[in-house]
Amino acid sequence: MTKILSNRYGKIMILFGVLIMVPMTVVFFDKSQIKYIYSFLIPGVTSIVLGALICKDFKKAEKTSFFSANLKNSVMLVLFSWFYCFLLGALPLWLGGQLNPIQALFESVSGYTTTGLSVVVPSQTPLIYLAHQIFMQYCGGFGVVLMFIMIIKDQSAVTLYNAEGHQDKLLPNIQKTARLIFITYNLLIIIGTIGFYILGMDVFDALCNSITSLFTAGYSTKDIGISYYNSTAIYIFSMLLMILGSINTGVLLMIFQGKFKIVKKVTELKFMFFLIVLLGTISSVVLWFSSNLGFFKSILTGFYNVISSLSTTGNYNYDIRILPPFVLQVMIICMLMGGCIGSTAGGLKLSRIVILLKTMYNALIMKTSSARRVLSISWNTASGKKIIETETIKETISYIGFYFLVMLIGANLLTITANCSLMEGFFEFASALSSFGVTIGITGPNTNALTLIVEMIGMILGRLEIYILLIGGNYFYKAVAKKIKYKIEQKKNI
Amino acid sequence: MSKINTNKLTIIVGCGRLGAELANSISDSNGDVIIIDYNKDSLRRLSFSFGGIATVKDGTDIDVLKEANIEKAGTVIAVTNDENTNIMIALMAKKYFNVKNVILRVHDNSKQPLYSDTDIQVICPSELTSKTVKEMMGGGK
Repeated sequence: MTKILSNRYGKIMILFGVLIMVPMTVVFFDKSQIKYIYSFLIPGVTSIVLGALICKDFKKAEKTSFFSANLKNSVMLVLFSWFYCFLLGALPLWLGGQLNPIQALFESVSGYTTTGLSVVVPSQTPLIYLAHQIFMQYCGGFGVVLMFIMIIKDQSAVTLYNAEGHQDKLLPNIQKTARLIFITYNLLIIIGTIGFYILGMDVFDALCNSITSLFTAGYSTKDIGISYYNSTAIYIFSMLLMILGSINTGVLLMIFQGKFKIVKKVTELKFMFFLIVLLGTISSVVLWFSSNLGFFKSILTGFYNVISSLSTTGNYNYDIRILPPFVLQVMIICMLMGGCIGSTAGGLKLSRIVILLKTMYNALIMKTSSARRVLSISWNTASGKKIIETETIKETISYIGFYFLVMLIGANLLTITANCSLMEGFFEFASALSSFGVTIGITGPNTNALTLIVEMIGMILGRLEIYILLIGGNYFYKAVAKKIKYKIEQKKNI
Repeated sequence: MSKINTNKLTIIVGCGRLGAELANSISDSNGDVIIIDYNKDSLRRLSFSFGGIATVKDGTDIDVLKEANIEKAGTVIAVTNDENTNIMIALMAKKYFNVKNVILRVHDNSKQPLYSDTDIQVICPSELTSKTVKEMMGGGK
């Protein structure tokens, strides 16, 4: 069976080999970068050659495949493509002598999961590697498997699409859906670039900031992120892009089509704006009273922090330890909740929070009413009113349980490895798990390897939605256990 | 598998054995397909790799058909388990929405006068089977 599927693995390797070489186009704008080009050529070409060899070997097998629609194989393929990406993305940074292997891997994971935690100092890094980081976030923001579906026609595209955590089908054809998502976000990136350019950035920075804001990623080309520009207009424009990035793709398309009547009713969206207004106001007021920022500046900082953490962007890098602890807590809550489901944001996703809150409310109501009363939970999505089934509720609540378990373990591990306080550990791990990417001062060029590994695991778990890793791990364990059992039995027979 | 013309959208009403089979094969050959059925459980017949849209709604509702973009559809296939529903959907698609290719499945051809003056393409499994059986009997001699 592995033989049958290998063809697709080959295709993925070729595709990523091509993608990894895209940052080389920077050379056309800046000739001095040409000395680093080898670090992109080596992994890119190797990957393409390896992929082509695999494709050639298994071409016949692919045609007689019956298993391509299998969920298990899709999960394995999704996991393979992500982990392959992580490895491939780390190679240029390592080969180029910028970072040691663990740091390079951390940087690559942080890029593809659109987190934005970083161990490099942008001002001391060659332009080509900054472009590489931004492009990793670009690929990761779409989802690496979406890239694959879009280009290559494959029967199991849907299973792959679902396995990566995308949920809506926007068009009656999966490949066209993928292309529609691709076109939508690229248009928005162009609009964002033009906007930032007009507001006073140069073209490269405008493009980078547009990508990182829209994909709620958070790498920056400046050491202190977006606070470098210190311009109210840029702050506001970037808030707008972040909100667009954390809206569900289906709803986003409806906004473009002008279907505001339906959009107004979408529960998740209403909840998101409610949260932004509520938490933004609270943190602004707290900031105003507890610091000397002044009225206008504290409103701006308060709302920017809330929107940035709710959309899990985190594209600034000033010392956030000066913020009052209450504001930091609000930020932790925001980033754990995350944006809308089916968007580029991370975190738990607001739809799950809505289900959780409604279930909690119903449980309270049930305590005080007749035992024969039946309550159901419903909500409005882009495709109309829907009743949430008991199965979905169970799955959601157990997911939230898993998420907090991971959160607790990770935060406590960080207090050991990085020797920090529990509050700092919580903030940092929540930042990694939800793909927020603002550091409280733990992650930097001098961070030790163990801390980086803990954060890396957090980022991967957060982006790939814990379950798929558990499923993949389960399959892997079963396969290995079977082989070991088989070998033991063979030995016995001898 | 024979090539299906899938350049245009196909709408299938009724996700029974036939409907699901058609939807799966059209989706596998990379066509656009929307399948409508008001029973959620019958959607389980769709395969994992079904790439189209499956809606749980009433296929005789004009608004539902409009939402499914029936005006742009190349083919409408009515294959629910109810004879009258099928005929009604086929007639709506043909007369109201002017869909080019309408395919109707009926088990009993006695209601033929309802659609005989249109160019709806009718398929009648019992008639087809009896024809084949007769051929087989003739061929056996």
